[in-house]
Amino acid sequence: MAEAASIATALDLLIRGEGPVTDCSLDINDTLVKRRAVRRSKRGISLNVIPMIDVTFFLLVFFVCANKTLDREELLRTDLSQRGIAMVNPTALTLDEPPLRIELIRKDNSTLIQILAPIAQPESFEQLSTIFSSKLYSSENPSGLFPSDHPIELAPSKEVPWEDAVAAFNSLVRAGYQQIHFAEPR
Amino acid sequence: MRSMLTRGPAKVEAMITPLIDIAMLLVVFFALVSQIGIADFVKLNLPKPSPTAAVPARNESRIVINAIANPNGDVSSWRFSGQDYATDTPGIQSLSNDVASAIRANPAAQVHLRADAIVKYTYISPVLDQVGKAAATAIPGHVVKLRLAVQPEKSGG
Repeated sequence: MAEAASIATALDLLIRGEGPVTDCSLDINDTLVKRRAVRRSKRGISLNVIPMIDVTFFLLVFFVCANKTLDREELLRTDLSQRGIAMVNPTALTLDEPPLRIELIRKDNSTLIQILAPIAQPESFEQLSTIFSSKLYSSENPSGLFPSDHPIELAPSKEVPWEDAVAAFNSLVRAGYQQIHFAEPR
Repeated sequence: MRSMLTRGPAKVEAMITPLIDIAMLLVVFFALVSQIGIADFVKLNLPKPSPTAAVPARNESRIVINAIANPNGDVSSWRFSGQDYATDTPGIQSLSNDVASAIRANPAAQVHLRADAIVKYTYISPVLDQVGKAAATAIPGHVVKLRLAVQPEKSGG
């Protein structure tokens, strides 16, 4: 009975915060507090990694898609000077050569290729490339007629679709010529 | 000390504010990037020469001129830097002036010509002419690095 009364008194004091605390309970409490403090301090410096990974992947996907969009396009190189100005740089020992003219004519929904020179006439853009490749002067082909920097004037007619004009240009680039420019349509 | 003992276990809660910050930043970023993309690259059915001698586009400074075509091969307008220009003489002259300003600002820039495969050459020729003149006006003796945009063979469309 006396024990029960003393326990009740001790609890009452404990609830009010005035209770006598034994050394043992103080040690246990201190250990718990220290553990919590350590846990809390660890939690404080930890990085929130998951949203960072989400955002990083999002950016990665975007740049991959953007690069693929750009990669889908390729470029044919040409240097555009003002028309009527010679494309070759004349020196004291070279003569101005007139450009070789190739006309593209639209007839019956197809494009005809006409080289204004006494050489074989092609029937397709593939043949145009083959003919000009065989006429390219180089150390391997000394019987060639034209050096790679010989000016070539590509003159599509008004109705020729851009696809055919580009195909002719592409054939000449593939044949190894560097000075190709577009002329005004007749 | 007593309050620490009676606090109980830590609550699990999501940190919403930084997520919203990042989401907003991304929205602004993508909005801007998509605007730039639209201004420079109009969806076109580019020519597909086969086999091609074209080279892939590099990350170089460029001036992009787009021909907006009708299904019958007529150009309805030219687009440069997000602005549309008419196909008549004043429109092309205006385009030439703006291209000259862009070349003056960045002489090393390449001029990319993007035109639909079906566009008739009669529309392309005056623009080629004017771009050449624009370069000569902007910087005397300057030769424009013109690049013709094509679709590579491997790509489906």
